[in-house]
Amino acid sequence: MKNILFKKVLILVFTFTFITSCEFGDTNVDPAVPTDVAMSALLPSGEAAISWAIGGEMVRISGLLTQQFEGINAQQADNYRYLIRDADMDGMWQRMYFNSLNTINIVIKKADELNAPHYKGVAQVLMALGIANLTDAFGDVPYTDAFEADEGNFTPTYDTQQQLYSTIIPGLLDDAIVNLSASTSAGGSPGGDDLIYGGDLTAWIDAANSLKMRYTFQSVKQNAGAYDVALAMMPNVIASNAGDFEMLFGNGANETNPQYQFSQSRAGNIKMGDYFTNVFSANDPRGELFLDGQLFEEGEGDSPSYYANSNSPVVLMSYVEIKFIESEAQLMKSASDPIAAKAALDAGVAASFQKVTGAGTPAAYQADLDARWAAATTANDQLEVIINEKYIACFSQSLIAWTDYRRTGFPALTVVPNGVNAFNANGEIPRRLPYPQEERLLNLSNLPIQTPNLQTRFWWDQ
Amino acid sequence: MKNFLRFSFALVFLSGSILTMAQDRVVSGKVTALDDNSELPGVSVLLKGTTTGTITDVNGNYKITVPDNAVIVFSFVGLKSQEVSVGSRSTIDIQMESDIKQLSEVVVTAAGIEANKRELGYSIQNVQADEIMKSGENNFVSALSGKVAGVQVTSSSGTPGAAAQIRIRGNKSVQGSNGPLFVIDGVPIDNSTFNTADSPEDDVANLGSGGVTNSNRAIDINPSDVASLTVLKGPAATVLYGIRAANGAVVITTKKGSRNSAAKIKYSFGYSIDKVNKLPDLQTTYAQGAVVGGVPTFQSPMTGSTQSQSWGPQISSLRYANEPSIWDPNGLIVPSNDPRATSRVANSYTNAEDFFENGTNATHNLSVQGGTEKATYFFSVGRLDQTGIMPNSSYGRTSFRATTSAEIFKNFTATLSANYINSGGKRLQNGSNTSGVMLGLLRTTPSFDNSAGYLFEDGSQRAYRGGSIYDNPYFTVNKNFTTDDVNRVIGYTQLSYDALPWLNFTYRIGVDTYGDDRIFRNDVASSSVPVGQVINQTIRSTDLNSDLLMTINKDLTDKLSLSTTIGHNYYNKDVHINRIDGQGLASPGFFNIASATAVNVSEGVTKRQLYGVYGTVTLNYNSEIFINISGRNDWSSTLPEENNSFFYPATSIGWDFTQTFGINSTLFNYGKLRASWGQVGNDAPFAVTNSGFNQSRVRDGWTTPQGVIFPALGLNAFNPNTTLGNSELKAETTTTIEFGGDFQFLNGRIGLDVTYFDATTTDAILNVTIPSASGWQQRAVNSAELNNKGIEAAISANVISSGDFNYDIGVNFTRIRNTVEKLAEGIPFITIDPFGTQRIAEGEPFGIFFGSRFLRDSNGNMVINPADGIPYEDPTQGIVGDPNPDFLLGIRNTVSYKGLSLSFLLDIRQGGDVYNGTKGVLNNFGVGAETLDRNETVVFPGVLGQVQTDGSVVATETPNTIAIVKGGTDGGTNFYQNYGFVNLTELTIEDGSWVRMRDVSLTYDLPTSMLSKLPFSAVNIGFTARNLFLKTDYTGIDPETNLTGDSSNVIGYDYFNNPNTKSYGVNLNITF
Repeated sequence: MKNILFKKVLILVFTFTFITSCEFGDTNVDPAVPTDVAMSALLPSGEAAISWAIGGEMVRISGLLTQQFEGINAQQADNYRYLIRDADMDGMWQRMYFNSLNTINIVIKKADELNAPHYKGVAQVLMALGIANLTDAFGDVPYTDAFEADEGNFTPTYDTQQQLYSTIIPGLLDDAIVNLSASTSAGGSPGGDDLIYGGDLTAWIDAANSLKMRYTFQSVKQNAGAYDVALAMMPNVIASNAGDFEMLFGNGANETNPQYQFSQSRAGNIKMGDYFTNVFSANDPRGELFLDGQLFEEGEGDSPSYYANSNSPVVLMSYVEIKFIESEAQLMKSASDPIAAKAALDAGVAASFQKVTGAGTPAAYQADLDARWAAATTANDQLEVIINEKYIACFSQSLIAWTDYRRTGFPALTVVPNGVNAFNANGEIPRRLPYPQEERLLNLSNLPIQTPNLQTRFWWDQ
Repeated sequence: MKNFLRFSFALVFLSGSILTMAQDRVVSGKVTALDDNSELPGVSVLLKGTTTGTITDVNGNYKITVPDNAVIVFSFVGLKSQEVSVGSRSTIDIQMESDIKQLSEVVVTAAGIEANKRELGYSIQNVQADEIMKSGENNFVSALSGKVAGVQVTSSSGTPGAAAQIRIRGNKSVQGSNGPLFVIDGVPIDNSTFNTADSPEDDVANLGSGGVTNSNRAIDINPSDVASLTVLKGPAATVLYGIRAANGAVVITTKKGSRNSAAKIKYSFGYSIDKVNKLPDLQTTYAQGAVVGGVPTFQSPMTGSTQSQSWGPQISSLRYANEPSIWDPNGLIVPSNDPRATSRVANSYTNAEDFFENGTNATHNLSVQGGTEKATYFFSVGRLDQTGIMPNSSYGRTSFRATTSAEIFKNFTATLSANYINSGGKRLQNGSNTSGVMLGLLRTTPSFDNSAGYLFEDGSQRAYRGGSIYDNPYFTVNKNFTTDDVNRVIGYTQLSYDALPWLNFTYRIGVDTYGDDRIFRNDVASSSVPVGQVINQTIRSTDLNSDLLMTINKDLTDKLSLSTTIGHNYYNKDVHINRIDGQGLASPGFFNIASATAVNVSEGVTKRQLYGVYGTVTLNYNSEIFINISGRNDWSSTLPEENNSFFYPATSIGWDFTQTFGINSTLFNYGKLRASWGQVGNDAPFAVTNSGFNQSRVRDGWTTPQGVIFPALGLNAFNPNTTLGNSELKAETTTTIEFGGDFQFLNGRIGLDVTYFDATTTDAILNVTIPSASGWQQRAVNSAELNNKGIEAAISANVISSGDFNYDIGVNFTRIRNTVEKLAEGIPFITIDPFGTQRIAEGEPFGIFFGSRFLRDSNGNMVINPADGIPYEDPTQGIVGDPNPDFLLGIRNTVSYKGLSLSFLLDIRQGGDVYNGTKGVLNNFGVGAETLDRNETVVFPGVLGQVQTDGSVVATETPNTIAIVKGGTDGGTNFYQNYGFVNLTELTIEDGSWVRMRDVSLTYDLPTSMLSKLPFSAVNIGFTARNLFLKTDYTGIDPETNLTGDSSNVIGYDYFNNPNTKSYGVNLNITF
């Protein structure tokens, strides 16, 4: 009897074993995390994320280094006096590569699978924009070898800035223009899911051409002919404020602009810089709209704001900037044309007033500008007038102010006190941001600069 | 599942019917101990001259079928055997007397199996109920601190309901839980800690570092229901619990009634007062402001400034003006040379000390227990009311427990137990959060009085930086509190059938289910969410556990006995977290989701299923040699199908050599050597085998919790999950080898248990950080190898035993060395904390601190900047501290004289660095007491550096002689601000060693002479104190702190954590 019992028990135990080693079905699948989503559900995420990354941390660091903002507390106070650690950059890098560009890259891959060139073109413009902003901040960055973790590549190599400027960025934009111009897009075309242009492919083509112009122009220290090449692109670029490449945020508590949100979540970390505050003349109505009262200091502004309202735009590339590029190129090209330069400068300033205040350049302001231009006797003095105007007109537009300073040395900023530290040994205004700590620790063999420092100039800055 | 249950029941009944056998007559009774009348479980009851017999149950009851003229032999290790002739009696109650030499204890090992500690080949340690009650802790996990060798307990803070983190023999897993399994009466329960942070992903990614202090769910267990507790440490002990006990197990036996005993009613009451036990030292000399042009200048909201710092002039140099100010009821503050100045000197405030109040704890516990001939019962009700040391914080717990057991058929006992708990309270925000209490409180300048109002009539905030920049702590406690309300039922049914005297079948099914309803609030005008926020979060968790066991206890020959258990286990866990995030409140203080202008909903699900089959065989040769072999196979749902089955074995041997060699001197009367080897597997976290997409939230580190939270702007949107799935994961394995011995000297008056263990975890599953340029941020891999080795020792000594006077000492010693032997290929480290300061790095101890440090030359000299005389920071970061203690030592002293007993636990922790991020910020802000030396002239020791053309700095051999004013109050560089906001990490790592009086209790049992005049059978009065003193060099709050509680593997992390408490109390225990 005992033997029978034991046998039965053993049989039962092994039966359990057999039964229970069966599959668990989808027990290990998180129902909130779908394994696939449509391109129309990815594009808004990519657009919002890249606008947030450029219009948030990038605008802020550019503004802090060019004294448009002053850091008064926390890490912003450190960054303002050029104490920028590699660890401070992890966030910006993650926001760009992970939150923005990987999502955009997945759209590109899906568009290939689904034969949707219109989606692909839009995503390629965004990719070019993101990579270009990264290289303007960090120098050499990964692109060709990036976004391949799902294929087992966890340590992407870097593309040199020269490669990025010469072939990769223009290549992406040219390809984007071809795709956006495709007569059909079988796998679908962006429409209401496109938060930037609402599916207007012509507008995207203009944006692509405008970016090409910007990055051609910015390489001028390495390529003296770039001014003429950039000017030759004028017929195809954004032709009015209405065509601006910008992302509009909303008034809902969950859809606000990054600068506004920073003023709310981190009131007291920055305030408007004294240098920037002082460049506005009394007859410049943009001053009130840009300086934002005490918004960043106290979380509540006492005047309306243009760039830091909850529904303010994040400008990715503007007609205003186009006119300033045109102006500088006309002035600085080998066959300098100061008259055309002044005309483009006037048009850029007027477009800025129009965009921000809804009216053109006030007469007094124009008279003052004319006088300053007339007083500028050398090309370099005229360049200073242009860049000083651009410093105001392109405020809060990605890294432009910092890039212009690095390219031209204008506006003539004085360094902040106590700017000497282990990363910035000469105390001058930084020429670059340090590579993020995660890259130094996880991808050291590929990292172009192994010890963080803020003064090593990169390709277009040499 | 349903089929499975049906199947299991069928098995039990089927086996039962086969095994029912006719017998002559039945004798039953109860076995108790002679010295204290306690019920004795596990006593062998054997018919003399046969192998037929049984053992007593948990309550000392037995039942045996006997022929005529039978003689029963009662025996138990540690007690003198007795032979009793049955005669015509049908009830035989026996009292057994201790055999000093054989003194031993019964322990509950895995799967509810009771064993004699003498027969084990591995280390195991018991904690008695009174030890838990003496601690005065409401969280019984905290009550284990200092009481068990090999165990480290860290309370997260002194906030009511705060979680405590427990680790047995160190951290073995990199990413997975390192917490042990909690088992109550054989049924594993949930001990999760769920965070409510500002967003669902921050709950996970930021480990709730900026939210409130949450509870670990074992806090729901009423400590007064616990009869005894056993800690299982190594795999040889835990193999039957399988992977869930990969980090050890805390096995709790609750109180139960006993058969044939009259109803015993017990009531206890406790009341204690909590005070804050330690705060960071703050300066009260210098006012809010900054050095302007070399002059410390007063800046405050009164001067239109949002100045955060206190680098201003001496407060005593400031005067009140005859001019009112909304910021100070005493008037506007001006420099003494201001024409408006009066002679009234400005006040200096100790905001931090003034903020804390006395917390209170009141506990009531009432229980009834007893039994009839066939049944036992235990009922209890307990209520805890706690108010915290911070205004408006509270915690409460109501617990009902009923356990009844009845012999419903012959040899067939059914037990039913149910425990209902309602718990929760009001919790306050802490940590890295501008609405955190401590952040706003400690940063407050001493020239501002937080308590003079926190809200202006227009609804804006009164805080030291003006409006809603850092919340006034009074605003935060009154407006930003979180409530939680947990309703939990833990219950089990157990059917036990003694088929034969040596054969038992048991089936047990347990359910632990709770709902936790939380409301997280940020009022309008709060600094972190100025538009106001309400989050409704509902956590529903259900654990179902089923065990089917067959147990054999049989004497094979005179000298050889066998015990075997074969079992099957099924476990299912289901957690649903529904969150409704509402932002933009319609009206201040209106914290219903209807108040929100933007609402986002999310649903989180975690599921896990596990099947296990296990078996264990123990052979006992002549009570001299004990050999055990065990094994278990698990099938886990969280691993890929091809890898989801894994087997792990364990074996142990124990040898009582005093028995073998006949050693029995007074000096050395007992010795057992033991050795074990065992493995235990562990599975992966939920859903890391596949990749997917998450609903998108667009934001950065500066704008959390807000940003673009989809659906937004009229669209829904997704982005790829941060973690790339890995479909090739397999189970991780920990292999432990353990040696030890149990010894007794001086007739058992001195006992020593000492164990050495060496545990290596291989293929540890971890989420490695990958460069974000690769597209993703993390990926789960199987690659790490961790090693823990250590020595545990428990010593007990009866120092004095003279008539009514007794003095006992009990010592628990723990020394663990932890090394991360290997991480993944190309992965030198993993960050485990939200700020990137704590890491797991190859070749280093678990969780080393990593951060910024001074630049040093090859001789270790600091390199000084020749421009300003300040030490350079090293541009690359490195290891700056180790949070693992060198050793832990708990020393319990108990002195008793007649009914009076004084007991205290001295708790010593040597080593273990704590990251004092709080200090880094407070010094930067000029409010830390260290900054009182701001005007002193110093020369930093070191050598001068030289800047190279490429911007790098090299050390020269020139010693530094540059004298500077340390705080830069002459307009020079301020040392305290030179390294940024949280300061140099190297400067914020401090030694967390302590010596503390963990608990003290003085109790008095009323003598029988007095009791006879009272309607009570026993009365005990006690005075208790917790954390009566604390000696530590740590400059922050009590170093027993941890920002993220038990929800992560982060250790020793202090960033504006809520402080800890000490308490004084009285208690009264009455038995009717």
